[in-house]
Amino acid sequence: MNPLSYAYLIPLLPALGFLLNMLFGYRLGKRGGAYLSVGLLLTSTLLATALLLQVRQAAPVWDKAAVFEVLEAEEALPPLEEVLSEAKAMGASRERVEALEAEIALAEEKLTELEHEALIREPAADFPFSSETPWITIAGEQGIPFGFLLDPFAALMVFMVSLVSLLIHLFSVEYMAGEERYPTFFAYISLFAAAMLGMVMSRNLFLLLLFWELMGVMSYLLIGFFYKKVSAQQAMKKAFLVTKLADLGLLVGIFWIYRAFGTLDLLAIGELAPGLLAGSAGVATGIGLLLFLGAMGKSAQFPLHVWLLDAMEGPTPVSAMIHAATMVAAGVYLMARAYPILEMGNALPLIAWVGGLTALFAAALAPAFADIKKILAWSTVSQLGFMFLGLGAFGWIAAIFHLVAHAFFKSLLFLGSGSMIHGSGTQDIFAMNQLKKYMPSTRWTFIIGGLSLAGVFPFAGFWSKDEILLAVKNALSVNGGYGLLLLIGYAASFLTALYISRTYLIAFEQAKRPSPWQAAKWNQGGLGVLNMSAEDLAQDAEYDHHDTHDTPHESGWHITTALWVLAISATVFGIIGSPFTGNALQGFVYRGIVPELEPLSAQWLGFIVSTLVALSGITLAYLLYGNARLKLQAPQLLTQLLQQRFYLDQAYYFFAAGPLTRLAKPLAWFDRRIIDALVDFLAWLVAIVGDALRRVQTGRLEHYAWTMAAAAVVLLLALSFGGQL
Amino acid sequence: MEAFAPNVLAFYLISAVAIILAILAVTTANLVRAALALAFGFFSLAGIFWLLGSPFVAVLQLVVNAGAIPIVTIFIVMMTQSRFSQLRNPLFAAVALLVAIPLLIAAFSFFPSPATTALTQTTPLTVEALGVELLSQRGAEVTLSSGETMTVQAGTILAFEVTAIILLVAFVGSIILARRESLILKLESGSKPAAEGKAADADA
Amino acid sequence: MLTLNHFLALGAILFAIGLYGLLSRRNLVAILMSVEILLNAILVNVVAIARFNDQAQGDVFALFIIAIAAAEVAVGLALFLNVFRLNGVATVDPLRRMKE
Repeated sequence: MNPLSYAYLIPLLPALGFLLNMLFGYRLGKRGGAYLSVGLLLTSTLLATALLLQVRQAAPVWDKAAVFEVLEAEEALPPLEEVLSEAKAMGASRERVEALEAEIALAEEKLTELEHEALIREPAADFPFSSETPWITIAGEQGIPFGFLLDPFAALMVFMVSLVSLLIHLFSVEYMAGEERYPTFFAYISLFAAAMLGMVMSRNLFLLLLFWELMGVMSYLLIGFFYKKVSAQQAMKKAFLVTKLADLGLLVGIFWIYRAFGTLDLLAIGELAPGLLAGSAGVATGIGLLLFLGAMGKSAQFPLHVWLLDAMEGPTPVSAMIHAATMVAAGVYLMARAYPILEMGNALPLIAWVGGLTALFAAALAPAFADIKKILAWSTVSQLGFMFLGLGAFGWIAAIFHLVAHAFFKSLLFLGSGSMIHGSGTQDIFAMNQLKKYMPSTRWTFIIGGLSLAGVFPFAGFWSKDEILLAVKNALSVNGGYGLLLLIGYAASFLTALYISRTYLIAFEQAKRPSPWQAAKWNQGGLGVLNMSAEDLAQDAEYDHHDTHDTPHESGWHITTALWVLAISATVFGIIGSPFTGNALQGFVYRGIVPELEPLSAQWLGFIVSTLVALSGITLAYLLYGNARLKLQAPQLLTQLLQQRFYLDQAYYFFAAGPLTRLAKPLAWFDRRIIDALVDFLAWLVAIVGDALRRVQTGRLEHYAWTMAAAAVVLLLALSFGGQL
Repeated sequence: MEAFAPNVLAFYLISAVAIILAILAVTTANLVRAALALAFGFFSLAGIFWLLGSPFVAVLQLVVNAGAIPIVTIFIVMMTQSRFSQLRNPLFAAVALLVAIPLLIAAFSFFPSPATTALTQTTPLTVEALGVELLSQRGAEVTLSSGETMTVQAGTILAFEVTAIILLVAFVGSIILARRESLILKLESGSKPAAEGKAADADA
Repeated sequence: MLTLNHFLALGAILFAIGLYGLLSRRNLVAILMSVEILLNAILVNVVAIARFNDQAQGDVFALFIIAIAAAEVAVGLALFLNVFRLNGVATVDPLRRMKE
């Protein structure tokens, strides 16, 4: 059976869940609508699994060793063609041209032969599965067809998105219980999942853009789910405006692609890009930068990351959804899809730098926060930075691997934090009271997720992050600037291990105590930027977590099941992508090999360095925040340093109160005077135009009739006599 | 002379009647008279459709546009006892003319020229062929009772069904609207039904 | 010889008359009647163009126009009845409250 015959159901079923929940959700009993959504998404997930298996069966299998030869042969072609075109332009003799052409033909023949030899199993005839029906037709142009593309990458994404969404739905059944707008929540989150599923299945960029925007709307609604909370209202507006601003770039980029390629078909773009864009690096760079602008907004890269922190105003499952399966993954997905274009231009180093710096600075900020959701939000920003770093270092497959791995472990961490919030009734990690005693499942799954995030052998994050760093290392041969990026990557890894261990230790191991942030008088000043005030936390408690408990309790089976399934799939996916299985995951996406990967024997050094970096981060966190006050007789200075946590908190205070505030002031001025003024101006413009239009709406029947008739007359006169003027 | 062939004469005659009656319908102050003028004007338009070779449309014009609609209109006029309508003021009428006449001139400039096809060269549409067009799917091959086969061009069975539903909804809707204890009346008079208020509270 | 232009001219004249009525009348029933004239003007055009091109679609379309016109009149008159009951007058003047 062709997977296209059922694939359309995968996004359709959650969309149906949206419809049913919106229409009948309140009549389906207390949890009827929720279980309906879960059931529909479960069906989607099963279909996605079938799709994945079928695509795997149809995909070609390559012989690893031989593929490298194919790649070499492929790389040899473009220079030859360049020589030929040059020769033609120079007006070389006929014999010379013919000789060159013969050489190319020979090379092509050799390539085909090599390809044939390298294929252990030929791809199925209809691989990759794609459909196309006329949709928007433009006279004289190719137009925009409606269609799905189910290549291995899409199948992998569909599987990941549906599975993670399913578990988030399951989690929400319990987490959101008692919420007034319970069915509405499930309606929104179902459509959110449907939009993402539709996006990764889209065959052309226009369809992709539609789903992309639908996702924007759904995130807007979900971030503002507690719409009575002022901060939530602001957060939803911010998220929408920032991502829309970025989408403008994407839109222009898509126009440009249509102009350059004459089509928006992803398959065609992939095939045409090397030929069309050869010699016009400017176009490729321009398109790449515009698309990257869109991806920056969606995937929260500096400086457009601002909305993601505020997006924490939504319920925790929404955060998990935005940060793992959908939304932020969309940007990376788009960039990976557009990689054939990016490759031809010069935008990649910039992408790498933006990603690397974002990874570092977000990881550096994360330890300064007490709100667990904010910590994880910074963590997401940082990990997305890693993905773009990998992408910018020519390791797009590594970025995809990290995207999938991150989706699993970050949703695990977010759901774990949700479970913690649910069980303890607070978001402040300092206020959580030795949760390890009360929440075993949450604790162990959080450890698995945390180790994965920190990049500890053998969890998913270890393999994927390492692959990204390897890609950066390999990129050194192209550009020396990547050396600094490699250091930045390791520094960010170190900080990642540090902040996630800190979170774990304080929340699970330590007894409850007042947050040093709230106690500090610094907080009275400008530090509200960094941390929530007590009132904020109290208000959040009112909205997102129901009631406060004196003794925390473990969550029910919905939540723990979701956590364990995620923990297991995160680990399994890591193993599938590891060198032990011959990088099966990456090979599935691209020709059986990963271009940037070296033989296993050469990777050990990287593994050891990564492990050391992660372990040192964890150790430092343990020394700073762990229960084991150093028993050994350390020198006075070291003991004091450790007891005071290297004055890290103070350093943060100092930094935040001093230079940061000073730095923040001009930024705040810029924000208020320029950006806000711009927004205000737009609002003012809309208000003015609206007011003018309101006056037109007199509400008098005859005025409408007059307007209509007069307009018809003017139009007719213009049409009949306009031609002669 | 060809200009005075029977169908040409009929056209000019019917057109003159229709135009005069239409002018009467939009100018007379007595609404009952206007409705009657409308009815006879539409009646004569049925003749135009007959001339054009569309007998079914002509009959439908008689039944619906010349029959049912003016009767309902007259009924409403009688019921509400608002027999007389005056123009708003002469100025408005003048401006209305100022809109209508340029429209007419502009419309004339759109006519195809030269208009070569004569009406006698076209074939009338039989009721059967029209029914097949209306109630089949596009592209279907249908054998008519005359033995010849025709290919369906329009195939508007779906639109036909939808129109039927729209008509039904419109009639049910107008019955509800015209009921004496109409909901709209209650809403307009300011006394909101209690259930409405409750629902609003629950929403908040 | 009768050509398409004859019928188009008739349609255009009727349309102009209907438009004049629509703009100059203030009684709701009279306005509805003007709208009827407009619709019939269109009807003449549609049927004429269809016949002169030997196409059945135009006639089919005419049937739909007649059906929709009937529905429109039914709803329009019912609305008029409501307006009349509410305001005691049958003109458009009270209807400026549509703004609210």
